[in-house]
Amino acid sequence: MWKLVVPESGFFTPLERAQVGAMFKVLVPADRHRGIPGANDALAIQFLDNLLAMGSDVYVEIPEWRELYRETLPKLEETAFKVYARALVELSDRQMVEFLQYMQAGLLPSLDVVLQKQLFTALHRHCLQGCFADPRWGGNRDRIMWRWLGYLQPPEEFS
Amino acid sequence: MSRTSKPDAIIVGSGAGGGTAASALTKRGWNVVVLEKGPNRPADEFVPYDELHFQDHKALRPAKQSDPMVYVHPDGKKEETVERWWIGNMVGGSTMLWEANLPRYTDEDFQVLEILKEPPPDTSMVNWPWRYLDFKRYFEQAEREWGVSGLANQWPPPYQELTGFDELTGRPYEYPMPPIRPHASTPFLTDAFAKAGMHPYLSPRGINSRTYNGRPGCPFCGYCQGYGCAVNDRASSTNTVLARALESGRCDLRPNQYVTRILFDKNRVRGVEYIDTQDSAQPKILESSRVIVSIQAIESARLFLLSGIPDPNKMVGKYLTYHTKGSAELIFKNTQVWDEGPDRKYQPRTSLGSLQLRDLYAINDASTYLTKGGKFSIYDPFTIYPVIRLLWGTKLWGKALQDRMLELREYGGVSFSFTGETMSMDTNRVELDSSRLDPWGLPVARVYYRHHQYDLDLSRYALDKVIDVMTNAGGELRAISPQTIENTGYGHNHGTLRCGNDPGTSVLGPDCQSWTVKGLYVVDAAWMPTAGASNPGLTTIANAYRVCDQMN
Repeated sequence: MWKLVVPESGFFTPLERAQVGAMFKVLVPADRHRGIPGANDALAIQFLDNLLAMGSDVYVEIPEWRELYRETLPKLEETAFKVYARALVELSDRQMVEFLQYMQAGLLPSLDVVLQKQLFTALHRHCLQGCFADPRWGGNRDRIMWRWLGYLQPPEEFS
Repeated sequence: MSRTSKPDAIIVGSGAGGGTAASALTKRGWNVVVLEKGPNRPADEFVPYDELHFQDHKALRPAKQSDPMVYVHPDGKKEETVERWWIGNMVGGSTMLWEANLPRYTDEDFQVLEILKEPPPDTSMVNWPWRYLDFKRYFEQAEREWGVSGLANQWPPPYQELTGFDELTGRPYEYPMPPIRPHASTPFLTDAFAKAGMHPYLSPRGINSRTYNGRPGCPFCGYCQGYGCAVNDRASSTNTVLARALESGRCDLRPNQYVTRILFDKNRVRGVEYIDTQDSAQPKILESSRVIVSIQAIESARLFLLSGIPDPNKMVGKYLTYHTKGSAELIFKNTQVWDEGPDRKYQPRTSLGSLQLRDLYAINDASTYLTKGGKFSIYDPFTIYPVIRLLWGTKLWGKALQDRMLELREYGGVSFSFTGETMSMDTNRVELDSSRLDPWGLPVARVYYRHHQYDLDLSRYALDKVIDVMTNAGGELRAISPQTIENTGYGHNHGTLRCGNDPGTSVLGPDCQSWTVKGLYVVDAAWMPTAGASNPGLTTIANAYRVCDQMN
């Protein structure tokens, strides 16, 4: 039987964790009015922080992802300052949506087109994994997203 | 069985074809050795059910980074390494990971030219050497011995025989088990298609609807295709035919043995050369007067090429076919999310789906040039795959993702997956790529593939038909993905070692034996002269019974 060993400490620095967390919050947003939980409720960032601290024996692409985040996050920060004159974590939700739309299309200034698209794909996928993977990985806290969606059980309400 | 120095047959691969051959030949009193490249994986290794580990992190697949194949795009220049997600390198092969969707091929497949009267000029479409009735008893044997659940006689005349109507006694055929509990969308979809004169039917599956042969009924866990079945309710080679072969005492199963070459003297097979993947020091040799290969069509062609099997017609590796695919997803805001219901009459939400639709198998429509079509498997968008894949597939984020999540939570949906006829072309082929080696130092497969315009038109036509019916029933289209000209690889791979009656136009005879090396047989889907238009598993298994029945 396969057993997951969750590392004791994460990979991100506090700043990196806050930056990725801010992007996750907009990729899978919560909507209190419509009762939809989001990446923050699920603690999706904890999932990625854990995952990146694991080795290539867990999955072969993990070392590449580590490099991708570490190298591009400072560049995103620079870009945020250039475009919005504020730090990534201080962007409003609306600005962050715009920022991510540009990244998805490879249009963020002074950042390699392929690299930013690659980063967007990784962020998007990791955010969904952090929300909807089994809680043993550190996200989807208390199965919150499964319980809301009705996966493996009838859907529940959240406020 | 004790280690055999010279068995009656060596079987390469332990999946659908290999496991069946082991069972059929040991039943005849033969001693066989089964050489399987992968390890033995007991059901315990398939838990905990975890989408991230098994699906996203690909725990059971050959790694693209170290053990890929190479795909060459239709322009003949662009190439890429491709993950072979359809290969289950373990005892039981890909039957450990399949969906066990087990329909029979029918005369529309065996005798395709009766329907496809004017095949496009740049294709090579041929009739098979048999008709459906020649295979019928082997289909029944396959359904019995692998444990297929289903319901015969679901269609109006003249189609009953397709699901097993017994034309000799006039009685409906009975599958070993009734079909699995229907999905909650079944009445809604059946009504909607009936209005268009179409007849979806409950699918035959190698999945137990109740305890059968000591294996339990399906608990609808929601982890099916791509996952190992820890419950063993889904038929695999290991829990059916291979288990019986081993019980006979005449089957010597050897995991972790990678066959690298078929040995032959002039025109007679002598045995195989193989490597122990756990101790790859020296190649070993095992001799036998019969070698039966069953490692999926691309790999079987690769083994023929690696072995230098005489190929006077230059046909080895050619006429590779994948199936023409296509998918569409709709949501019905006039329904509530499908559920098992208070009396558990239907499948729970995370389960298989039920229906197949074959009304477009033969197309009789003056508005199109298409004549041979295909079949749909009908799923719930929630079906089979757990949630990450479901939502990742939408490519949505932000508010658009929220809207989609709400829909999936509140309303019933449907997802169609098309399996269609495919034009055979000699340019679609397997070669060896000597610039890229697998972990044991052998050239990987280099695959050239482009879909014919017929395939593209067929996919679009079939999708449009079902989308039309579904929108009339209140459906809103959410995703459509017709076949494109490129195909980087697919689990249904066939045709690389075509069989036929004429040694001048085929690699294998009708007994699936090499024309040039006697005693060398192939029982994966490489023998299939054309693709047919259904999931090929049952027909592959039935053929293995047929070949072993006639082997001497």
